[in-house]
Amino acid sequence: MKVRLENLAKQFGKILAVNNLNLTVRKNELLAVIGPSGCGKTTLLRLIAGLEAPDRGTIYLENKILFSKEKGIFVPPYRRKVGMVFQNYTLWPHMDIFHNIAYPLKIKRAKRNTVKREVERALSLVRLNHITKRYPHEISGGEQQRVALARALVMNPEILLLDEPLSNLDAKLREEMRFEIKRIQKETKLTVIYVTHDQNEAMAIADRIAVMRDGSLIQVDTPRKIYNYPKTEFVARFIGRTNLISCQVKEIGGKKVIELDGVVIKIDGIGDIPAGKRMFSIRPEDIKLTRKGEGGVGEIKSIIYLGNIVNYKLSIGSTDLEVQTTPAEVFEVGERVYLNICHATPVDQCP
Amino acid sequence: MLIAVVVVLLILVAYPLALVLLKSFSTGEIFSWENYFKIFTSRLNYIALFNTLYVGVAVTFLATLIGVTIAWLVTRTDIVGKSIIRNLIVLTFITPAYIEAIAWIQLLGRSGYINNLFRNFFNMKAPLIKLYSLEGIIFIMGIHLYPLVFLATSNVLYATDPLLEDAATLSGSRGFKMLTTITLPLALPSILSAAILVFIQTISCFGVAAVIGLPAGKYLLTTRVYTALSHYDVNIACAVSVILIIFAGIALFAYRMLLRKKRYIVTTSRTQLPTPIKLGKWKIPIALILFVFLSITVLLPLASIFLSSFLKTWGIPLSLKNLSLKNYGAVLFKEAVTARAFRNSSIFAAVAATAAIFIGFISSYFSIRTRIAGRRILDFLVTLPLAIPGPVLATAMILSFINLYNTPWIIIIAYTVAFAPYAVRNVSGALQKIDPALEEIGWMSGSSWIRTIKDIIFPLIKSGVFIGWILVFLIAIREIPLSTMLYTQGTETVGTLLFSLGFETGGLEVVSTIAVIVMGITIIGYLIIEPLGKIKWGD
Repeated sequence: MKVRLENLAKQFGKILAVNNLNLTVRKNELLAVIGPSGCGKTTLLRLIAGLEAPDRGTIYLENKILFSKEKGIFVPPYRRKVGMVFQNYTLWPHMDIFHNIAYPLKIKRAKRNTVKREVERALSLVRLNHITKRYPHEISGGEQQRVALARALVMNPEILLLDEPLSNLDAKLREEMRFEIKRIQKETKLTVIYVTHDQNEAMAIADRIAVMRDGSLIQVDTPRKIYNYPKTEFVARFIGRTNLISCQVKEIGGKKVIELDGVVIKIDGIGDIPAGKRMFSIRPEDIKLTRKGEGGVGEIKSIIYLGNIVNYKLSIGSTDLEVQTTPAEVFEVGERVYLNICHATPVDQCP
Repeated sequence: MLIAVVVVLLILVAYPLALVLLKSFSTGEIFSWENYFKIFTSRLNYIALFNTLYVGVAVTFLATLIGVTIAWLVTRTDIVGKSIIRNLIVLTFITPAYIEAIAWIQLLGRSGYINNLFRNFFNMKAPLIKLYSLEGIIFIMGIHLYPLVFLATSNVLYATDPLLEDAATLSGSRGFKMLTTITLPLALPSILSAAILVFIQTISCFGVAAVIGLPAGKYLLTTRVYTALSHYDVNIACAVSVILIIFAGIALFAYRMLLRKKRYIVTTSRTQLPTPIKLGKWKIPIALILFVFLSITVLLPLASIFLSSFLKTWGIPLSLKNLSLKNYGAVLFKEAVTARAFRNSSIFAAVAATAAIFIGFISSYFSIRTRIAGRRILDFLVTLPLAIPGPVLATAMILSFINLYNTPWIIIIAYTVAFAPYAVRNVSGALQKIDPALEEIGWMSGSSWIRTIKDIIFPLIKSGVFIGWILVFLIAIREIPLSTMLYTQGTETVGTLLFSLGFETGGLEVVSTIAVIVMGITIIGYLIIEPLGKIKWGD
């Protein structure tokens, strides 16, 4: 189901955790909310779940109002059709796995048979079937996370809220669970809002990514658009590695070039941009290096050879650039090479 | 070092207890069950046994009910005056139970303030409430001990991850359902272990049991040991002691088992609490009831003690012209016995606290930092006295160290043995927080073992040691059963005075004066150590 947030705001003391936020989450979409710690992403989830009441704004589920300050509507969490998974699983340590998952059904006074059937359904959805009698401290972190997912899914929610669900797992399990979450989302056709601070996680599983900072959304786009066309310096820096350079855009012979510390560099793919001073985000892999050619020349300062890729630091005048190439041609430290930029995105500077 | 301390503890703890056990089986020279047979056939004894269980269970129930309720109100609702409530409860807790008992005698005793008031108003003959009864003991001990449950429960409710309750909210759980299926079950191990401590402390209590129970002929096992011994019925005293130790021992064992289970409880370092439940229209009435309860149980008794301490003689009406400072002058300077008692108590408590800290440090160090065989025996021996009620320990001391009977040493040894567990808990709490690597680096820097302890360990656990010392000092300075059963002329303590004067109506104004001074010392001591770190009250 579609979730729509309008002018949402929440303040804790002097901190504006969520600041006049507008967002539409599409039906059956997996939206990743990403941002540095303390940016308000967890608060955003808690507002949608109904664990906190916003100070201002409206929350819609399809056309139904879940919260409206103006109209005095607050639908309590258990009537919102949301399931939520927290960072540290938060399974109840005094209940075994079966009772952890069955709890929401028991609160609803479901029949014993129904409870059993639904718990089994939820467990098979997360592919855990044989640990129902064990207690949370007796199973692994990955299993605990699956149980937490099953508990959230057992109520057949319309919306699944995930608050950094994988950050307590080790790297290998984390990757496995990403695919699991994606699979479960496809199987259940849930709308998922997924909060994380890990950009790789967001890139890997999200349909769209919302980048958040200081309680506001900076950019909401598909992973490819976020990566290739970051709107601000912050987004460019937060997602992936990048060179942020401030330089002059000029037109020479009908072609756009940039001038950096007096060096003119050929550049493609910056679109229609007026001449003048501008900030650009240039991904390291978007800079091509050649021994022979024309245009700007830089000097290689250091090399890190990683096998499948090679990372260089090179300098043009007083500016340092990061460059990433394939190992087809490897340059030496001190070598002077020609630069060719094949993609650059103009970004707004952050306040 | 380890061996030396183990030997000392074997002599001071194991040997006396072994003697008690041995004596409990002897009538004359041979081994027999006769003493135990007597316990279950003589009315005086089995009634005492029954009374002890009744009082123990009732106090545990009462204290748990009050403690958990207030802890929940303070940590989970938007009740007003949370810090005042907390402070008043702490005040209840640090007030010695015996002083509370004296206060209640002043209020509800035969010529107590409240009974007098009612008598004058309604022209009643019988007292309003029968204080001298088992229920009187239950009431006073319940009021005195519920703070233990309150502190344990509110600590765990503060520390529990609030997301566990959020997850339940999202599952549709709320209000009473949340309380009974999530909040309380999560706190249950802590609540139960506090309840067990309450039970142990209740069946070990002596001062209150004596001053409230004995005038009405109501015996508990502790007072039974005391009276048996004062009638030189040593064998019966020992047999009753063994039964008392068995009860306390079982409870202590259950407590240790529970502590193991507690480790699985999820706690958080976040200070954020779940959104407080809004009491709404109940907010003011509930707060009012709570404040009335606290005023009656803490402020009223303390006010009574305070005012009575200025009375020229007990029994005359409380009016301005009947008040004077003469009691204080008499207690502190004029009367040789009271002045001596204060001096004795200070010295005994200080020496015992120092010895207890020394033993406590060595025992904690070995059991936390080393894998040496024998460290468990050491820990067991040091903490064993937690399960030994005062009169029992006093009996054991008399049996073992009769040669020291006319000296202060028997009292000092008894204090040290009885209160070493408090020292252990506070020192080991501090020691556990130190990374062993700090010490290892000390050795690698070429420092010797003693030097490392002096230069590295001690500075880091200083506040834990200080808290432990002050705590033992504060408990020892007004200790009653050990002092009462072990003193002779010249070694009177504050406790012996409080105890002997508490039975005499004529002494109530002097008891009040002594009590006020004890309260003053206790409050000052508490205020000194409270900001320094977590105080471990024997759990």
